[in-house]
Amino acid sequence: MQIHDDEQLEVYLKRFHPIAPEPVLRIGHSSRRSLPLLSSLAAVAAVLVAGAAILHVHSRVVVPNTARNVASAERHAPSEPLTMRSANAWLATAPSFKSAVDGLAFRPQSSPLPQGKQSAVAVLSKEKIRL
Amino acid sequence: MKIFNLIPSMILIALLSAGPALAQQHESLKENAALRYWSAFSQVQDSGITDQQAKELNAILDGTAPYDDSKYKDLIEKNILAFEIMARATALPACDWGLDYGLGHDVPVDYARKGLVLGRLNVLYAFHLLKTGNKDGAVRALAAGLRFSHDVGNGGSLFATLIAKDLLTSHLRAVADALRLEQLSAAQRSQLQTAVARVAEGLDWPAAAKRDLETFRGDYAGNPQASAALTRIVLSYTAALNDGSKLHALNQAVQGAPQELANVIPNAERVLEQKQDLNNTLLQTRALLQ
Repeated sequence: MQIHDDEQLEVYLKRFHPIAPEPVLRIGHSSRRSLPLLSSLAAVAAVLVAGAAILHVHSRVVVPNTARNVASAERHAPSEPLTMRSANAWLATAPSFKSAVDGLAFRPQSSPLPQGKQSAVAVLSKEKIRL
Repeated sequence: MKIFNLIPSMILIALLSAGPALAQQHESLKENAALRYWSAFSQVQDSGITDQQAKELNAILDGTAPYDDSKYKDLIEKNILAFEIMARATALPACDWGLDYGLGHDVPVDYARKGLVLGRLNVLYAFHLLKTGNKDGAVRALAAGLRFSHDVGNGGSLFATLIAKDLLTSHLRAVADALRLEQLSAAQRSQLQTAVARVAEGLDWPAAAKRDLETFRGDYAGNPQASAALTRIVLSYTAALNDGSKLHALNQAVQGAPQELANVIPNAERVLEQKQDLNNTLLQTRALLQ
């Protein structure tokens, strides 16, 4: 029985011919073709992200153009802690005492820190005490 | 030998006599409302607002725009602890901001700006309480706010006094609104009457002006002519703020001073206008409360 199997295997091996491999997929050529497509998709995505960001900012700060123009024409209140000198200078150059006082309270954030910078006071005020 | 025996007794007497003085000083520090007000300032919570909202808030406080609770409720509720600390501090008998006028022009006055913010928020808080039907709370907030406003000007310069005046008029206007729009009980009206009466003497404008003008003294220490002119201006200025008819004499004193000094003298007419405006508002509110 064992001999019969060996013969069959021998016959099979004699008939065996390796099959020629199919041509290898040329990846380089394909990626070159898809590059413009990917670039287009990236550009569309960038436009969408920028649009969303603009819409987000607009929805948070809705200021009518007239109000914005008026506001930009106004003086910005001193942001540093006031002393008698700076307070008197602020009062003396204001059109009226009332406008000077109004300009000091409820100030919108006019001078955010530059990109890449953070508040030294905020950093120093972070306590590191562990109990 | 007898002298040596007396020394411990003398030390004991000295300690016993110094004790009450130290205790009194300690008590006066504990009774100083300004320290509590600083504590309230530290609890003020900020909120980002646009230029337009800043204008609207100023209009509400001027009485030219209605208060919309839906817009400012969150801002108010974030600051309730600050209002409570401030209100409790107004029960203290004294308010000393500890200003060191020896620093001349560099005396810090930022406490007044912080006071302006807290005081204006307190007016909005009173409106918020009225809107939510808490009349007792609103009356208490207004009464405390009036006292706080007056305290902001205590011992201060013209700047602090102007801010105190702004806060007082805002609170008085809010009192008038509460009287017009709400049906207040006799007890609530009486509480407001007492609070208004406590600030009825107004603010010490001449003393504030004198403090401001005296800061120029150091600038002209080596200039006898300017120094003498400054002395004349200080006297005329305080007299004019007590009696508006003396404004002409003040103008003459300013015109006769060296130009560099004349240029830095605060406009007395504007100061008088503010003083008059506060007096008028006080009179109107008292009349409403009668």
